[in-house]
Amino acid sequence: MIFGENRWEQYNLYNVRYVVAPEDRDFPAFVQPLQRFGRHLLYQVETTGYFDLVGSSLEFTGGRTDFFPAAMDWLAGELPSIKQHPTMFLGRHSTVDGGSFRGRVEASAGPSRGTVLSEEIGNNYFAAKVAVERESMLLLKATYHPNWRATVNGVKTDTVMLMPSFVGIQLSPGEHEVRIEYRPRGLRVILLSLGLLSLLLIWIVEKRGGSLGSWFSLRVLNPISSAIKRRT
Amino acid sequence: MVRFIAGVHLGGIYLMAVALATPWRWAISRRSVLYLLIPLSLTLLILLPVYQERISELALHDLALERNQQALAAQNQDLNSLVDRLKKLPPGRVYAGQIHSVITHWGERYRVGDSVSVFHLLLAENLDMMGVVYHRYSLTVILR
Repeated sequence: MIFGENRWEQYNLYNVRYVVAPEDRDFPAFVQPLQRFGRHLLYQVETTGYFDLVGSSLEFTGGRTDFFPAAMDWLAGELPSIKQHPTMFLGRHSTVDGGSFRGRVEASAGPSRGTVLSEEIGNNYFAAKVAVERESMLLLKATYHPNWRATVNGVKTDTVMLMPSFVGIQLSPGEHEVRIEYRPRGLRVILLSLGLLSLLLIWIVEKRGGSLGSWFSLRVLNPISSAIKRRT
Repeated sequence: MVRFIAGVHLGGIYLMAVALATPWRWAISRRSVLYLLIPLSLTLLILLPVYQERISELALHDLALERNQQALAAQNQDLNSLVDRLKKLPPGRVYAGQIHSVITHWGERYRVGDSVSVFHLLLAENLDMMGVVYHRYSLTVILR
């Protein structure tokens, strides 16, 4: 995916707040110089941060391989600039028509959706306080994964995938405290336990290899070979 | 699936060793020690070009490393100050150009020395970078 460095909405979309570039690069006026470090120039761009309030009146349904061309079309169009992020439903298999959009296409961003009052970023979580003026989606500008667990005012809430594969949460008007935390599933603990168990078994086999080998041949292999001999 | 090719290469190396072991086994089974000269010559004949290629390649790496280290040392203070400043600013992603396989971009040429890109230097500092990272295993990725 190619980043459109002349379009402010793309800086905001990915929360690209800082640009580091060589001194001979030219940028649009919204990319403001901040400081020079030898041949490296640091710039700053105004963004809404890692969160934003957006609309999602469209739905995209398709397969995983349909995602990329659809996202490219969406990025090249006007929908990112009016903050319209279709909700994405991706199946395992690609569709014949390359996926399809359904729903209402908005012509403009409309009245204000509200403000992100503050945000906090931790090792495995993002948190924000938001004042919502009308029904909106809170967009977290991080790659969607089902292991993101969200709470709104302490209550567990479902997440959706928003174009271009970011995390979204439906919010009603009012002030909300949102926390989105990445929690791995129980499978990781099971795999970790199996790994530790394997290490323990390797140690036992290394220590008592000889006696285990003779026990295995006496109790397992010998009865099997005797049974085979009796049959033949 | 190019990223999973290492297993094939390791298998190939193992097979080559098995093939080279055959003349050695044959020579060892003979009574005269002189027979060992045959597998020894064969081994040297096969491995000498490999050795030469490795030596010349590693010499080039050595040269490139030296030049990069000099360039990094010359810009070390500026880069450290830049990273310090970025870490103290409010959180946000950092863009240092794009390193892309299909387009030519200024990010490709934005390097310290010959081969160390500023993008990778900043990425190694654990900054949240905008761009292509080494591993991409998200749900929507297409394995090639």
